[in-house]
Amino acid sequence: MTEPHSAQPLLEISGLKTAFDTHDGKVRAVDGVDLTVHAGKTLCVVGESGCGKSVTARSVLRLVEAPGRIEGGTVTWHGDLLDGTGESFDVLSLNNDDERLQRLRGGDVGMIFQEPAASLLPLRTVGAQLIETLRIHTGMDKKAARKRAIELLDEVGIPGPAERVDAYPFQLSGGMCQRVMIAIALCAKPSLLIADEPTTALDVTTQARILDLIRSLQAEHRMAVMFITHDLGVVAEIADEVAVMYLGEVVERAGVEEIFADPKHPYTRQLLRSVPVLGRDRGRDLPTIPGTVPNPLHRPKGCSFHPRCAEAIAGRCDLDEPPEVVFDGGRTARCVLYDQTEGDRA
Amino acid sequence: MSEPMLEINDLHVRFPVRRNMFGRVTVENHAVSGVDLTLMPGETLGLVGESGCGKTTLGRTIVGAQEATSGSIRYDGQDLTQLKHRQRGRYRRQIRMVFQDPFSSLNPRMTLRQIIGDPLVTTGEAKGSELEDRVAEMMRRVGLSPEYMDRYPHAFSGGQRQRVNIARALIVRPKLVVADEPVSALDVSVRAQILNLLRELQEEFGLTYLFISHDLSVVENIADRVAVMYFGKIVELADTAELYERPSHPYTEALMSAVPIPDPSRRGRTGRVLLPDDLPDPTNPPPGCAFASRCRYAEAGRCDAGTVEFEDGVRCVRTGELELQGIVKTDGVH
Repeated sequence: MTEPHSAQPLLEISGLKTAFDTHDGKVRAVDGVDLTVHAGKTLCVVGESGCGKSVTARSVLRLVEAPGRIEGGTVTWHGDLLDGTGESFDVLSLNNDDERLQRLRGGDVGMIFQEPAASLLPLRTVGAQLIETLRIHTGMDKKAARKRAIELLDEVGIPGPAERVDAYPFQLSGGMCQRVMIAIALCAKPSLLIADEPTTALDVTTQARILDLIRSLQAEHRMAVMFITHDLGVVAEIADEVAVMYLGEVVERAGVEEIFADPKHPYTRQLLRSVPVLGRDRGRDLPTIPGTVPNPLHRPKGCSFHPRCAEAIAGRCDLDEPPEVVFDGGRTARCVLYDQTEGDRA
Repeated sequence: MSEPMLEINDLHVRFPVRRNMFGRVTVENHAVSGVDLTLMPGETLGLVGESGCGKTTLGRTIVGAQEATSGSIRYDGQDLTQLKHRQRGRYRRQIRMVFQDPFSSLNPRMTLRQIIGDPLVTTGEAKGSELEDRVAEMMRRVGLSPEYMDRYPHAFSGGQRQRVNIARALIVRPKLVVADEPVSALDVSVRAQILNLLRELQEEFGLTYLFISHDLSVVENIADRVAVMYFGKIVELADTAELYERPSHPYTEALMSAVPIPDPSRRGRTGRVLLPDDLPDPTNPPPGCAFASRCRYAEAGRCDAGTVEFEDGVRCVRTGELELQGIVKTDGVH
């Protein structure tokens, strides 16, 4: 296997649109999202509930369930990057029974979800679930798969793996279940790990260990990671690149240092200010973002953040879709503030 | 020095896990195991700890939603644990609870008027137009428009529902509010609003809070003092600044160091303590310090034997010998 070049795109999401038909109308959960995950790097997708970050992640592997529907865009998997024999293809244009799609799911792309206990089958041992995945994607026989399963549980830091392999999910703590999920996601040595809020339900101490684990596995396997979270602290810990989403759109994209040192979009700026930070905000009133995240059914006209934005310009932000401004170095922000003033290509 | 608002003494709560053929409990889970805690009027006491440490059980026991196994909770000259169900009424109005999940803690078949006004109706305190006025006033006070009074919870966002929860808790003018993870389920952009609201209401109504959370940044923001709970016991208790900057218990140090800081330039900073997973079995607590199995400072022969007393705000035999690291002060990001 040739080493992939570090800055090459492994997964390119372009113009992705995913919508849900509900009784009250059509919800455009993801509305024209462009994202790139580079080989060996970590992309963090940040946003609040309803911003479409999870739906974006699920759309990549076409795991959106009815009444959800992927309506447009492309998801290009650059399989040729990984070894000489792979090919590039658009995941969205494959047939459901295409073998390439099966290989991608759980093979080249591993996925972990927020609630580990809910993602594991309750009536099968964790070993059985791990062994099944191993056998599908690596073609091992039962005995070899069991041996490998125990090794994997050890690798993700589960104490007593030889006994725990026969445990049922309810016998393990949340942190341990999440480790089992990670072992399952990683068992076929994926080139990309999609992690949807994998530490949100866990304690900080467990979270620190899971993040550490993902980081060390990434260094070992040169794996790319697409990490979905709402926690800016977690982003600062693990991201190389950051995409901020709000109501179905990417509003800002930048390197992790840039986004924390110099956030461009008002939403990113206000979000960073409103989150209490250890050692900074003791006993004081926090700056707030007014209002709540609107129901995606009734997305505000113009810039969808304008009703909550401190810097909104009347007559402009409430009417026109803001342009995506590209800055030096390639970072972007979807906001009129930079239109023609700071933007290079405005 | 004013009188304490609430005094908890040697409180124990045990849950039966297994019984033998004669119905006698053979295995039990010691969720709260000898807690002493005092709340002063008007203060916010933060209660932090990992899931399963007993902090929610402690909160539920204070509001009377959970029976204490032994020990006392003194409030207003009365031991709440000794009260018969019928005698609790008065205290149920003075000590209220705000729950974590704003989605499951509101009855979906009741309108906001019914939900918020319910405590007044059940106590017979108000009805008719007076009830309506008080509900409207409370709604305004927590930042909800009274015109939504006849709507159902499903029409509201998480932050708005948490406002409903707060309104319901405060409408009977309680003195003490036990808030169990009140902002954990909320969107990050809405958390600051609710935290600020809780602070405002505290001032206005002279409330005392027991603020239970696993989120150390949130607790630092709102609490005057903080108690750290581990395995059913308070292991450290101090003023917020003291606890965060100069922790005395190794567990507090480990908790602090695990909190991710939103500042990428400090990534990979030294001093992160990674705790191993092996929590002791709650049905069979180890002798000595319950944290010893995960503690990097534990000394065989000292930490794993005998009882560790709570002295000078900390429960650790090695306290005084250790140089523990607190949080690093940040000017932060913008």
